[in-house]
This record gives sequence, structure tokens and C-alpha cells, in this order.
Amino acid sequence: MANIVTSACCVVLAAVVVVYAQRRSQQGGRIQYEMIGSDVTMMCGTLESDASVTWKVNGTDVKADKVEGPRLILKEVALASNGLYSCFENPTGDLKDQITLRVGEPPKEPVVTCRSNTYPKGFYCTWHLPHPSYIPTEFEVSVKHGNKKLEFQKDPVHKNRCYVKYPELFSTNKYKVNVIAINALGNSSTYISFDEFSIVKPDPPEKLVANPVPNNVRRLEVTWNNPSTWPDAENFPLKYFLRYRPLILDQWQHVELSDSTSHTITDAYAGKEYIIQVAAKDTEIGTWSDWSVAIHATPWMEVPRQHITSTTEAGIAETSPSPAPPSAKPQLSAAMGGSSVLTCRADSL
Amino acid sequence: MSAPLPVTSISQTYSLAVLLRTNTAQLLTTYLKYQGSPFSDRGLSDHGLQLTGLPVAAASFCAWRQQSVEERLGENFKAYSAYIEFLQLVTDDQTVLNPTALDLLKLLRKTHSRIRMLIGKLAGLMTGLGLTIPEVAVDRLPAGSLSASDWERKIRGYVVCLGLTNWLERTVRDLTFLKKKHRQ
Repeated sequence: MANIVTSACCVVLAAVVVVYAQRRSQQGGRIQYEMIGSDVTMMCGTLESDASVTWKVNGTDVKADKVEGPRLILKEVALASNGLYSCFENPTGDLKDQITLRVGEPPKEPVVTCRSNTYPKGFYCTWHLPHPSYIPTEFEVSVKHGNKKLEFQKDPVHKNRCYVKYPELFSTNKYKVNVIAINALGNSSTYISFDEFSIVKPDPPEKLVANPVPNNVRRLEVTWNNPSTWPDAENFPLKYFLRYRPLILDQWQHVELSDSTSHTITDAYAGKEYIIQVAAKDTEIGTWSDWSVAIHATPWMEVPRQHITSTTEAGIAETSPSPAPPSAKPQLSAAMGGSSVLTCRADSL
Repeated sequence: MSAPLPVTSISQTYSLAVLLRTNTAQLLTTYLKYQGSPFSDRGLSDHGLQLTGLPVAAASFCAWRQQSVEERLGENFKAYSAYIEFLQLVTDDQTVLNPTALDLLKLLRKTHSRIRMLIGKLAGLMTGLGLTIPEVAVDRLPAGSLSASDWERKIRGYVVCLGLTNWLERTVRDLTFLKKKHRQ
């Protein structure tokens, strides 16, 4: 059903509260977050200003000239300043406080991209920080369709990714995604908006295979499957772009195809090893997928009769499929109830 | 007297819809260009504006998918029958608001005549399949349409042009769906 029955994503907010908290307690550690390059003061518990303390960082002594009563002052902290700071009251040597110093930066605007590789089912959005913040940073995401807030699911496998079902098709309303990055030193946000059609980009075709054609030195039969993530190739057909070249040349040959997941190359150079790739696109909207994994194949060759020692085995194409690319394929089946096929109840067609 | 499978007819209607889709995308861009700010600004969003009497293409996947052939063609027929009238209104408005925008006016007229062709093709398809052509009320423009302010006219034109592009996305899908169905 097209109804959205997913839980809202509010786990992040709880984490934000934890990140902000700098509990002050007499004993037990706490974390102090400070900006890189800033001057930092660390307080030893709630001791009086004339107290005398000794500081250690990760068990090593800290230089004395940086101490003012119960305060430790560090100038222009860097990542190397990170550590567990402990203070001991003089002269008893009692441990009075422990502070973990974490040096970092407030988050820069997150980079957000959204894409639908499962049209017309839904789309996913991913985000990341363009520069590291060096301290724990959480993200708060909201998705709207026109003025209506949409629910989404966090991806069970990929971090910083969520999945949204299209509430309806052929809509004039734009989708608006807002991602706020928050850490103890600050926050920033990015807002993007797009329409239903523009973000459609299928995953590349799969299981690309090229076979030589017996007794034909210039042909290669190429077949492939639709990307398994595309839910309904029947009613939302894909078109394909095939490219091939002999390894020894740089120039690609291109063929655009509709309605068929196979093609016979008829102009291959005899005896030459070829590299072949395919891309897919919805016939009407969106953009081309990335290129599929490349395969290698050589057209059929006649076995030379005289040479026994150096045999080139005819008819065996080198289809050495590389391991599946680490492409961005959300593991939807687990989250979405075991099937990536589109279904409606009481499907009368 | 069984009607032959109208495969050619569906294909032709499909081609016309594809052509119209490019056409209406161009119309929308050209329209916005001539209306001035904020229409001509980047990142314009319609904020869910709707016009009374103007059919909306948006539908849930299941509702759209489960339509019968009669409903599918019928909805398209009704939609474009309404759009024809609104398009005429927009053309009249723009003739007053932007009389020197000759490319826009030409595009409006071309779109109008192609939509008319599409309506004809849809009617032909339905007749060929032995389906009833839905009744369409004449004079569907909401009351007070002719006395709108310049601002209202511009908004109205935008909603019509935008709505048309979305309808054509839907129609192209509808015809793809029907092409597959009738190939069996």
C-alpha cells in the first residue's frame, strides 16, 4: 500500500541531549568539548580559588606554569591536546576530578543528496559533513512534501541515510529535505528541494554477460538484467546505453537500446579482447545510472591446427565479473517487509 | 463486431503525449520568464496552489495502478477537456499582460491545438475499445475568472502550465501501461 506506516525518526534528538550535557560532578569523568585553536580552562571540581592541585594528562604530568589554583589553562588547543585530564589536591594527592578533553569544530553545512533508484516506490537521502568535526555529531532530518511532513525510515545498513516513500505520483509539489548537523560546539543546516522526477536514477544493470558467437569472429552477444532494486520494469520500463571498446583502443562505441536487455555486437575486431559496460535510465524521466561493472570478452576464434603448445581456447569468453561494486544500494527488503516488488491490495489488473 | 487491438493508435497517442510533454516543459519555462519576479526567480515552488475546476494529476500509486482502462483513459480525457478551457483563458490573459511576448503566445496556441489533438486521440481510443466517453461539463471555468487581478492571472497561468506538465508525465505513463497491456 502506498500508505506510510513507518516510525518517525526521533532517536537523534535523544542523542543530541546527551551530546550537549556536560554534567558536573565531584567525582567521575565528564567530557569537555572545545574548539580547535581556542584557549581552554579546565576546573578541578569545585575547589576554592586558592587550592593547590596537580594535573596529569593520561597519567603524565602537565606543565606547572599552565596552572592557576584549581584551574588548568591550555592555550590554542589542538587535536594533540585530547586526553584524560586528572587533578589531584595537594598535598594529599586525592583525585578530585577527571575531565576528558575533546577538541573539535562545530559542524559545517552537511552535504545532502537525494535519489530515487526505486521509482515509483520512493527515494532515499544521504548526508555527510564536508570536513570532519572530530567530535560526535548527530543529524536531525526532516522531509516535507509541499507543506506536509513526511515520515521516513532510517536505513538499517547505511549510516546517515533515510528512506521515504513517495506519497503520490505525478505531483506538482516539491519535496523539501532539511538536515541539521549538531554537536557540542554548534550546529548548521542544509536545505534542498526537488521534484519527484528529477532525482530518479536507477542502479546500474546487473549480471552483464558477453558470449562469443561460434564461427563468427566479429560478434559478441551481450545480455544483462535490470537492476534488482527497480521495482516495476514492466510499467516503468528502462532504456539502456551500451558501450564497448577493444582494450587496446581508447575510443568507445555506443549503442542506445529500448525494450531489450540484450544486444549483439557485430563489428568487433577479430581476436581482440573487449571491455563492455551498460547503463540504464527510466524511459521518461531522471538521469542515467552509473556504468555497470565492466566485463571482458573476446570474439570467437578458430583454433589453430598446427600449434599444440600455445593453445588459445576458442569459444571461451573471459567474463570475469568483478565482485559487486560497493554501490549505494539500500537494503530495502528487510526493512520494507521482505519484498521490493510493488504491490497494492486487491490488484485488479 | 469486435474492435481490433488499437496498438498503432495507442502508439500514436503515446508519441503525441511525449511530444506534448517536451512542449509543455518549454511552455512552463517560457511562461515564467515573462511574468517577472517571483515567477522568473530560481527555485520557485508552487506551495500546493490549486485552481477550482482544474484537475490535479497527483494520485497515490495504488489508486493510479488499479484504474481500469476505461477509468485511465476517461481521467485523461476529462483532464485535458478542462485544461483546454483554462489554456484559452491563460492565452487571453497573456495577450493582455504580455502582448509583445510573441514566442509565449505562439507556444500557448501550439499547445492548445496539440491538446485538442490529444483529446481527439483519446476519444478515438475509447471508441475503438468500445468504451463510453465521459461527459464533460461545458463552461468549467470558475465564476469570476474574467475579473481577476493581474497578479491572480499570473498565478493562474503558472498553476495551469505547471499542472499540464505533470498531467503529461502521467499520460505518458498511462499510455506506456496500455501499450504493454495490449501487446499481450
